[in-house]
Parts: sequence; structure tokens; C-alpha cells
Amino acid sequence: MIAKLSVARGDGRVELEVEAPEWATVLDALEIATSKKGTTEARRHGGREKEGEGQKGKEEKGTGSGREWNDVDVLYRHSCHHGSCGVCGALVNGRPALMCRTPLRELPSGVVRLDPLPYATVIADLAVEPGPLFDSLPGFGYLRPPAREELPPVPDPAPLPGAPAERPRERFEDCIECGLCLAACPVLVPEGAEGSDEAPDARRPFVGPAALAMARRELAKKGPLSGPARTLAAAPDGVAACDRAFECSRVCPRGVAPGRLIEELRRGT
Amino acid sequence: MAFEIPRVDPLPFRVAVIGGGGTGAALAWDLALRGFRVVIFERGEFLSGTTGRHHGQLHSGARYASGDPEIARECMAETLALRRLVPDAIEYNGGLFVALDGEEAAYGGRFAEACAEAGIPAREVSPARARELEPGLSSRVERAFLVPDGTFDAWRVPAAFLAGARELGAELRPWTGVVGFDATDGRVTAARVRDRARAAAENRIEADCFVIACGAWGGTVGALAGLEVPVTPAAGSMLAVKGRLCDMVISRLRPPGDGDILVPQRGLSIIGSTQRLVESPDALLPTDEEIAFLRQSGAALAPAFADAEIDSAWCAARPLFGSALDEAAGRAASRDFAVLDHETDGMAGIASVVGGKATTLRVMAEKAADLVCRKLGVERSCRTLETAPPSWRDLYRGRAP
Repeated sequence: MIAKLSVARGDGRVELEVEAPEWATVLDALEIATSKKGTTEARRHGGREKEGEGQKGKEEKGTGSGREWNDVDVLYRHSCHHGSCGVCGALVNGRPALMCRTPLRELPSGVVRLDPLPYATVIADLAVEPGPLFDSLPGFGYLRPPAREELPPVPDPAPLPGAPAERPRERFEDCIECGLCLAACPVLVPEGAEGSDEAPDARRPFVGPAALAMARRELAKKGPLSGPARTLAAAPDGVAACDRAFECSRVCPRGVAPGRLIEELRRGT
Repeated sequence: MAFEIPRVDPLPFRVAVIGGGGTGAALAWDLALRGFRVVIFERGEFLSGTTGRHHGQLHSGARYASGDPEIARECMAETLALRRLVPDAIEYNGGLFVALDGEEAAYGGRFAEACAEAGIPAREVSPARARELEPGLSSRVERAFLVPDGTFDAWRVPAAFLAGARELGAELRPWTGVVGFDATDGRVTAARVRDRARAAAENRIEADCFVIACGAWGGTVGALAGLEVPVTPAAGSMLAVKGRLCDMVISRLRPPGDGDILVPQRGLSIIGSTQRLVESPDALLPTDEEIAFLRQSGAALAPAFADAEIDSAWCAARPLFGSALDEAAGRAASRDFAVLDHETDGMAGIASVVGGKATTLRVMAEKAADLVCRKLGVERSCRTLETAPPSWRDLYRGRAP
């Protein structure tokens, strides 16, 4: 299929067109389109005949970027390509999403509009500095029980010094710290703030859905022992600052449902 | 953060690490811990090349024991080290090697011996016990061995090393590609870099030593200094389905091949991988044939894999050690790594790390930093085995462009 991408660049946009497999994601298409060698891959998957036809980019002059370009060079963050690292968030047709988890065929036909996530400062194009997200996150542990049916503990043939030879099963928390919930939150990103180059001033201080979801998970794991989680939730910029819009739950790519977890904190459950 | 890293006296040398993948991240951390001034360049965002796309198997080394005992031994040591150093970024549930037919069952003897020789505590369990531990396992299991494998987060482990390097004052330069080197009298004195985010103009960055840690891109970057860095890029495809079909890493009891590892991670099950030589490591995608093959391979180990909803399919560029390998040589290529001092090629001031695998990123960095010390006449030993890095969350805390 031919993917058409319109990528934010300062005050202007870059239009990209690329041949991509039917199952390709937005991230796949963007990576092919911005790679010189990507034309080969695109042709191989799409049956194109002529060298160079797989990629076509044209530059529109943006007044805000102050950069010069030799090639189609688009800055975007990405790493794992399977929804594990949480790095490749962007506004896809105006909605916060991980590009690696957004198949092209699930989008309306036509041009896919890509813009940087609005909760953070833009470095260039789609790349943002995710400092505000990580600043908001508490230092809670990242492991939890797998929550599968009752399974025996796993034997450890190589226990570390002092560790038992059988251990409870463990897995990572579902939250991949991608920041989509911050980008979707109407408290953190008031209407009209999207597309701004500057990190918007929040209407009021709010630690954000990711941190509160982590606090709820910490309480689930540690119970009343988790003083820091209770403090985080009870602070003026904690649960009380949430407007219950539930946009966080709608955009979460891993089903964490921060909105529901915040409600549980509110009810003290 | 309250986290404090014990420091040593600063050294009067600046080292430039080129490549912000797993190896470069661990190297920046190692060099900074030894007291060097460090700058690390990555042409994109950190970890956007190969390491981050890894399926996440933390190798005990059992996979390599019968073919390559040295790598197996190294993997075992590194698995234990990473479990101590970054426990929060590892799902440590162990692994199972399972035989699905008579030939694989017969391989069990050689497997057990090789593991014992490499110091890997593999332990045979009955097929019934294996299926008690992992009910999703195929009923065809004829023989099973427990090994200390695990899953690590291929982004969060190296990101923690970068966070540590940052904490120690290393200069992190993502979005900055090296476009050339300046050399005088057979010595590299500076790299010319382009900051993709800010300006088209090139900057000249001087350093006392340069290390190419570009994995599958090492050949391209080495050529900028007129060097031949012996790396052949190979595409490795992976397929993830929704649902956690196991907690332990499940491998086929046979010599390493394609589609023989099932790795659980969060709510996903990932089957890996394949191997296909490629001219360029850029923008790789799996082929339809690879996806179909991986689907079948996953189902052989855990039948539910066959009908599970596909979550994602992707491809990573593996850095095979050796120049211009053909397919057969690529298959036979060791997953070992080497640290090359290009002074032997007539170019001083520059070295390369080639080959290797994600599990061994820390020791690859250790050997590369040892070489940097020798080149600069510095006696500082590695400190990464006893120093835990801060959280990956510290990599971006308090930062603005």
C-alpha cells in the first residue's frame, strides 16, 4: 500500500509518500520513508520496479525551524517497535498514540497527520524531550506478580547469594511510561495548547495520570505500607486535581486504565 | 534523586563514544565511572538501532554451550551481573529447554554436558514437571532442562547505564551523527558531527580517543575514517502475540537456529528469530515468509501461539563479526565480540567494538574501556560490576533541550 504521511516541522509540514506492506505500522512507514536505503525495502515488499520510486519527499519551508535540509530528515523517537519501550508516542491524526502500535490499515484512508506529543517541549519535528513525564514519576518498583492462575513458584538453578532456590514469578508492570496519558489529559494540556512549541502551563498543578496510576499499583502491591504512594495521591496536585475526563484510559496503549486507578485512589479502595 | 554514585579523581582525557545503543550506553557508563570525560553521539534517539528491538532474552548461555563454550560462560557471568545491577528491569523467571522430538531428546545429553562445562547449572526435569511449571507448553515435550534464563527490558537496561553516565557528567548527544573524521599524522584527532536538531552546520569535536560502538552500522562509520570495521549486518525478525503464554523463556533443545526461542514480556509472548544478510541495516522489516515461519515456530512450543492475536512484527539489525560474510558464514558466525585497536591498521586514536549480543553489553564495554585505558596509558580498573546504575527514569529527569 502507499502510505501518505504529513509530519509537523516547526510551523510547516513535511509530506512523505512511501510504499509499505499491508500490515505496516505508522512507525514502519515513517522509518522507510526517512531512510535512504528504505527504498530498497519498500520496493521489495511492494513490487516496485524503479529504484527510488519507493520514496518521495518534498520539503515545505517552515518559518519556525531555522534548519536546512539535504534529504528527507525527520526527527522522531523510537526504539523497540513492539510497544515495550514507550518511546514512539506522537499525535496520530490528532490523537496520542504509539506509532509502533498503530497499523496504517486501521486509520482512515488518506494522509496520516503526525504531530509531536503536546505535554513536552519539542526538540524538532516529532521528537520531544520527555523530561516532564519522568519528572512526574515516582521511584516505585517496576516488577509485579504475573497475575496468571495459581502456578507453582519457579525453581532458580542459579540463585544469587542469599536468594532462595524457588522464587515467586514476576513480570514488569504494564505501564511502559510512554506519556500518552499526559498528552491526552485536559488538565495538563488544556484545549488549544496542542501544536504549541512550548510546554503548556497547566491550568493547575497536577502530577498526572501516569504517576497516580503507579501510586495505585504500589498500594496494590505493598498495601498500607506504602506511605509515599499515599502521600503522592493525597497531595493537592494528586487525585484532587484530576477532572475525571478519562482521556488517559482511552489512549493508554497497554490497558493500564489510569482513570480507573485514579478513581480507586479517590474512593480509597 | 538521592542516588549517589561513588566517584574517582577525574582523568585529563576526553573519550568520544560513537553510537548510542546498548554497547555505547554501557561504555559511556564504564568510562565515566573510571573518571574519563565522556561524550557520546547517537545519530537518532538513543537505543533506536538494534538493542531496543531485542526480544529481551537474558541469556544464561545455555543456547551457546555446545557450540561456543566461551560465549556461554560469558553469558552466564553477565546474566548474574545484570540481575544484581538492574534487577528492576529484568523479569527473572528462569528458562526451559524442551525437546519436541526424538532427535532433540537425544541432543539432551550433549546439551547437559556442555552446560556443565560452561558453568551453567542446567537441571533436567520430567516433561510432566515442565508442563506443571508452564501449562501452556506443547504436550509433545519429551525432555526438558531448567536453566537460569530471563527476560530483560532491552530499553530500560541500557537507558539505566546512560542515566548513570549522565549523572557522572557525560555529555549525551542524541540526534547527532558523525559525518567524518579529521586525522593528522596517522592519528584521528577530531570527529565532524552534524546536530540534526539544530543546524545543518558541522561541528568539530576533539577527543583523545574515539570508540566506534555502532553495531551493525560499524562498517559505515569506520569507512569515514578510512577503516575497515569487520561487521556484516543481518536482519533478525521477531513476532509478538497478545497474551502471556509462559513466564519462563522457552527454547528448543537443539543447536541454535531460527524460531526457537519464546520470550514472555509483560502481556506479550515473543518468538524469535530469523537471520538474513542485508546490505544496509537501515529500516528493516520482516518478510511475510518470516512472519508465517515465526507463527508456526511459536505454535510448536506453545500451541496457543497459533491463534493468538498478533501484536507486532519487527526486525532488528544484528551485527555479525566478520567482513562481507555470505549466508553460510553468517549462520556459522560466532556471536562473540571483539575490541579492535585501529592503531594496528595504521590509525591511532580510534578503536571499535564489533559483534556481540545484548546480554553481554556490560562486558563488551569493559573490554573496550580497558583498551582505551591501555591506549592512553591510564591504569583504572572497571567499576561496573560493583556499581549499580541509577533508574532509567533518571535519563530524562529535569531535562530541557
